Amino acid sequence: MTPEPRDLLRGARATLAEVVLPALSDPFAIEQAKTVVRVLVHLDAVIDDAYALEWEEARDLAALLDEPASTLANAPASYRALRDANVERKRRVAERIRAASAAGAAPDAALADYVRRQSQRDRRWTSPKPGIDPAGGVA
Amino acid sequence: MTAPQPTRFGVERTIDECLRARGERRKRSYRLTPPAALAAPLEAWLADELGEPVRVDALERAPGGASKENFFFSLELRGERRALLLRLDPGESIVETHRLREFQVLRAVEGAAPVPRVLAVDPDGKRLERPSLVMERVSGRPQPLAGSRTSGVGIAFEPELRATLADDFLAALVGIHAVDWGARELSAFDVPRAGTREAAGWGLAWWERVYAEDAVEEQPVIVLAAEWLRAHLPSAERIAIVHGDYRSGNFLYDDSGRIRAILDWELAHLGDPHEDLGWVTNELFAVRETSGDRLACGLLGREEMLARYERAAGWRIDRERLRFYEIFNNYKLAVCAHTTTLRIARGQATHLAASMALIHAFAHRYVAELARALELDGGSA
Repeated sequence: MTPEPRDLLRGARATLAEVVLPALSDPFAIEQAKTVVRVLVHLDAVIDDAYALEWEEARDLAALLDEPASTLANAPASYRALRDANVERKRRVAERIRAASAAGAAPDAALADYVRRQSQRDRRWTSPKPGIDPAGGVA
Repeated sequence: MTAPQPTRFGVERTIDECLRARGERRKRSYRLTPPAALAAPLEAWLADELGEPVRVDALERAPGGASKENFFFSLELRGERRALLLRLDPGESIVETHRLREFQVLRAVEGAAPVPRVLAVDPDGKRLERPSLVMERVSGRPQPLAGSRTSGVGIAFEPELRATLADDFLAALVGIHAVDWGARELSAFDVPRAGTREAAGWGLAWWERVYAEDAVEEQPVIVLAAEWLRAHLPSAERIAIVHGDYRSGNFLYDDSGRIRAILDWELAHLGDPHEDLGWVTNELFAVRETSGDRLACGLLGREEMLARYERAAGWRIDRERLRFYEIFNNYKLAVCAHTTTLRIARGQATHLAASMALIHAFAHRYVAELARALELDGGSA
C-alpha cells in the first residue's frame, strides 16, 4: 500500500524544515520545531527495522522464558500484537529477576545472554544508520 | 506491574511530597500556560516579595532544558531593569523535583560556585497555580553555537577553551563539595549520616520509586541494576552537597572560556560526593577526540579529571564507591530518561512532548550503557 510510511514522514519533515521553521521567530517554538524534525528523522531511520527488532526480542525473550517453540512458530500479524506480547514477556522476566535476587541468586547465563543481545538492539535502535544521531543537530 | 521489593530506606520528606503531588496532578488535565497569562500574577507576587512596586515585561518562553517550563522576563524595579528567569513546574517532568530544595541549595552554594542568584520561591504553587522559582538570568552559552544537541549530551567544546573550562568546572565542583552545609538553611533536605549506607540507600529508594510509579512496561536491565545496587550499597565517609546533574551542558560559559554559572540544581541533595564524580566521568557525557582519547564531559581524560579533583579537594577518591555511583548514575539516567519520558510522552502533560519521545528513543543507549556498566553486555559497544 502506498504511500509508504516513509513517504509521509519525509513530506512532513520537508514542510516543517523548509516552510514552517524559517517562518518562526519565537526561540522556544523554533527549538521545539527542530526537535520534531529530529523525531521525524529518527522515525524515518528506524521504521523499517522496528518489526524486525521486536521480532528478534520476542525470540530471545521466549527462549529465556522457556516458552514452547510453537509460541513463535508463526510471527504475529501485527507490530502491535508483537509489542504487546513482548511487554508481557518482559513483565515475567522482571518477576523472575526479583525472585532470583530475593533468593540470593546471581543473574544466570541465559539472562546475561538476553541482556547482551538486547543491548546490541538498543544501540542499533538508537543509531540505526551511520551518521544519524537523534541527539544531534538539524542540518 | 509488580512493585519492587521495599528497600529498608525511605525517600526524603520533600521528595515524597513532590512525588505525591505529581500523583494528584496525574488525575487532572494539563493545559499549557500562555506567557501572557503569567505576567500579572508574577508581577503581583514579586511586588509582595520585594516589598515595592515592580513591572514585569518581555515575558517569553525560554528555549533549552528538558524539565521545567522556563520563561525569560524583564523586571523593572526603582527604574532599573533586571533580566530574570522564571522556572515553573509543568504537568509532568522528566524529573519530579522540589522548588524549595532548588531555592535553598542555590542560596547555600552562593560564593562557593558561580550560580544564578535566586529571588523568590513559591513551593506550593499559590501564586502561579504551580510551584515556581525566580532567579537571575545569566548570560553565556551551554555549548558551542554550531551543532546544538537536544540533550546536551556529548558536547564537544571549542578546543581553545577547554583548559579554562576544565579549571572552572573542577574548581566549582570542589567548591560545592566543600560547602559547610550544616551552617546553611537547608531545611527542605534530610541529612544522611556519615558512616552509614543512608546516602546511597535514599538515592536508590528515590529512583526505585520513580521506576515503580512511571514504568509503563518493565525493563529487565533496569530491574537487574536495582537488585545489584541494593546488594552493593556503600557507606558514605563524608556528606556533602551533591549537585546531582554536574556535567557538560549544565553550565554557561563566555567567549573566554570562563564558566559564568552552574545550572540545573533541581536534583541536588546531601549525599556522597562520589555521586557527582561518577556523573562527571559517565561515558554518556564523554567525547571522543580525533586521537581516539575520551574526554570526560568533553574536557579532560577521566583519570586526569579524577586526579585533579583529588589534589584540589584534598581527599582520596574511593574506587569501589566510585564504581557503585557510576552504576547508580546509569540506573538513575535509565529510569528518568527511558522510563519517565515514555509515560510523559504518552500522557502529554508537558510542554515538551516531542522532546520526551525523542529522549526516550535516545535513552535506549542509556539502558545499553547500564548493561555495560553492570558488565552484562558481553563487551558490545
